[in-house]
Amino acid sequence: MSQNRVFIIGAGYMGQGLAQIIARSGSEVILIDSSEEALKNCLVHISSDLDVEIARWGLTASEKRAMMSRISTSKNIEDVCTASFVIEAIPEILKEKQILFAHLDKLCSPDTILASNTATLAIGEISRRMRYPERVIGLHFLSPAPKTLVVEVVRSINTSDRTLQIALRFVKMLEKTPIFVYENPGSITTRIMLPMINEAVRVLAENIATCDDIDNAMKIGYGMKVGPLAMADFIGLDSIVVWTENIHQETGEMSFVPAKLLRKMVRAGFSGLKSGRGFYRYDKDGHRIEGSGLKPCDVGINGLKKLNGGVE
Amino acid sequence: MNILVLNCGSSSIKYQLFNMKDQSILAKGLVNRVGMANACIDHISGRGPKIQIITDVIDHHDGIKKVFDLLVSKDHGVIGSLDEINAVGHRVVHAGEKFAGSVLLTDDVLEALRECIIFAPLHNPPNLRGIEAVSEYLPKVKQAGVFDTAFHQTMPIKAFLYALPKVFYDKDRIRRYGFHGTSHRFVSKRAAILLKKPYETLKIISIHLGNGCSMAAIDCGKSVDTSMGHTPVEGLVMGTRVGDIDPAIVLHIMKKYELAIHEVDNLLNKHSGVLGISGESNDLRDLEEGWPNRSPKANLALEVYSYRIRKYIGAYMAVMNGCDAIVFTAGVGENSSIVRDLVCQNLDFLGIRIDTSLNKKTVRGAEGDISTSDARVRTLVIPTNEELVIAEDTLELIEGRLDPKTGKPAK
Repeated sequence: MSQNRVFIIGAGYMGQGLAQIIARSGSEVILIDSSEEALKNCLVHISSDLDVEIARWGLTASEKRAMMSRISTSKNIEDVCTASFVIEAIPEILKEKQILFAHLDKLCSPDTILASNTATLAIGEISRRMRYPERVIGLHFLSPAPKTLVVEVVRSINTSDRTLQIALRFVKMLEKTPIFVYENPGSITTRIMLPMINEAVRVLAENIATCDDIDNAMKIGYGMKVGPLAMADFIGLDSIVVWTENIHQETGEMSFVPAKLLRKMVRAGFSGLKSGRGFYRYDKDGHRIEGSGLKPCDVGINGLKKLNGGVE
Repeated sequence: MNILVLNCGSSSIKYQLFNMKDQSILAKGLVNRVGMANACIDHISGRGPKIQIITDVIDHHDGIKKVFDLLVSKDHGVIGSLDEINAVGHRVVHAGEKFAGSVLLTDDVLEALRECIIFAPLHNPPNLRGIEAVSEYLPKVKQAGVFDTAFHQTMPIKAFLYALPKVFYDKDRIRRYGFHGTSHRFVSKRAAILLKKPYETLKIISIHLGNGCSMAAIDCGKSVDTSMGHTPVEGLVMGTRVGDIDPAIVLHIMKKYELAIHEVDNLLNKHSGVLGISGESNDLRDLEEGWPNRSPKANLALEVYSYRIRKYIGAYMAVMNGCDAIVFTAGVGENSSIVRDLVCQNLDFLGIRIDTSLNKKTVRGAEGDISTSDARVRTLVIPTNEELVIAEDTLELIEGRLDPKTGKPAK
């Protein structure tokens, strides 16, 4: 049986992307968030994202109308009591996820599948205080969800076969490729990508090369679509710090200690694309400004002044 | 003898139950939005008015079960029990090079049709799911498959081969297959009856103008060329499909606008055709309203649409070295006297000449010859009826008049 009604908790960027792809697959979506404004923004963003797609001939206006009609919103988390499939997409903070899953555990029937979109936390840890942890599974959609074609399906030691099968079917229904992994913080994609980003930041901080050159070397050299620093800007430098810290805490691996420059930039408000500046600067439409990549001289003692001056 | 005809699309199920004694329709309907929570079933039974039911239809299996329930239901049903369904005929879009006629469905046939999924990834899977569902609910009832591609399997290789490296045909079976075969077969046979001449002696060009549009050159009862190709995108200008274009254009716009494959796919299938040209509508009825005073863009769309058909008429006359009749069919072909007029005007040289008042009169399901009495080539309007063809083929297969494995007349 396919999932024809899916609940999403958290109307952030990921929740929005998930709502979009699930509605596109023909299922109904109920987005849940405590903030009325977040829900409203989410619908506005989905609508404008789809308009961009229509302008690129990827979608028709009537397909958009049908998709939008399948998305509804609610401020009331109790609504999940009728759900058969719930996906969590709230911020990557263990405490908050644990509280949410314990709450869902009580609200939903024991056979409701509860999926977490966590990138770096252990499913076993998130489902620790639950009565029925066997219905919990990790579904890590890469960002932006509508564009990336892979989903890591993460099984904890408690996850049942039934839960796994339903989750795999769900991912295939969305026409994405499921990659099956056993629980481990960061799974495959995040675990390999974070040290690469971290190392790229160190290369910049150590005066070895400019942002543009680091990214171009990796793009052209290894056939990557985006270089590691541009990717860091896209993900958000603050998120990178939280994610690396999460994995470092779990594993103790030194490669997951966030580079000092990363922390410095986050403190100074250089969070990447969302704040308009990170390793590159961005215009108000989110397009990267040509030639704006940081150079090694920008991140030393002289550079901090220059950077602040450059932005204001 | 009751025969159920099923046409399972990606999110819909069309059904018609025929009483083959007099070919009357006992009930018919459409299940829409299969796989969604608020699916709806439009159902018309012979005696009752049209009813609409909103319900949960999880998948094709579930949808077919609900159709069966409706057919035997107290309020809207037309048969006492499912035993009164004697056979089921399915429309199946793509049979590749495997079948040149309708056949009875066996495990081997289903396996062959699964191998054709690669040619019609959107259409064959739901067709197959429909067959599987019927096998489960009516395990003893014989089922037949009627294929869109089968009628065109008589094309000679010079007509179906693309001038690509031959490895693409040898290895991947990339070639012209053609579609709407059931419709082209039905209207061309019907044309022979109207012309009172043996089907096997006639040269006919059939023009199917519906949502999708295609033409076929039918020489002595055999399709020798058709305008749709490896997929239904080639050939005539359609509502939203592009038809013939220079393939290098695709590469050029993909590069210039950095388009992904699914975006180009949508562009060619859903944003092009008369919708793309007019920017107003994909529906010819809209575009010809008030003709020629609606808008320059609508006129342009109609002109490009009709011009393409004229080109193919000329081409197919050359292919067959002559033509006895051209046949207009399907939604636009049966109803648009404007399109027919745009297509047929100034074709005296080719022997086509239509009578303006007959052309205007022959709409809304009417059948007839709309040419002037002195025209060398007869221009006919014939409403198509693919469901009836499927029911008839199914009947002939179960009664042994057609060979169950090839669909050719049994000896």
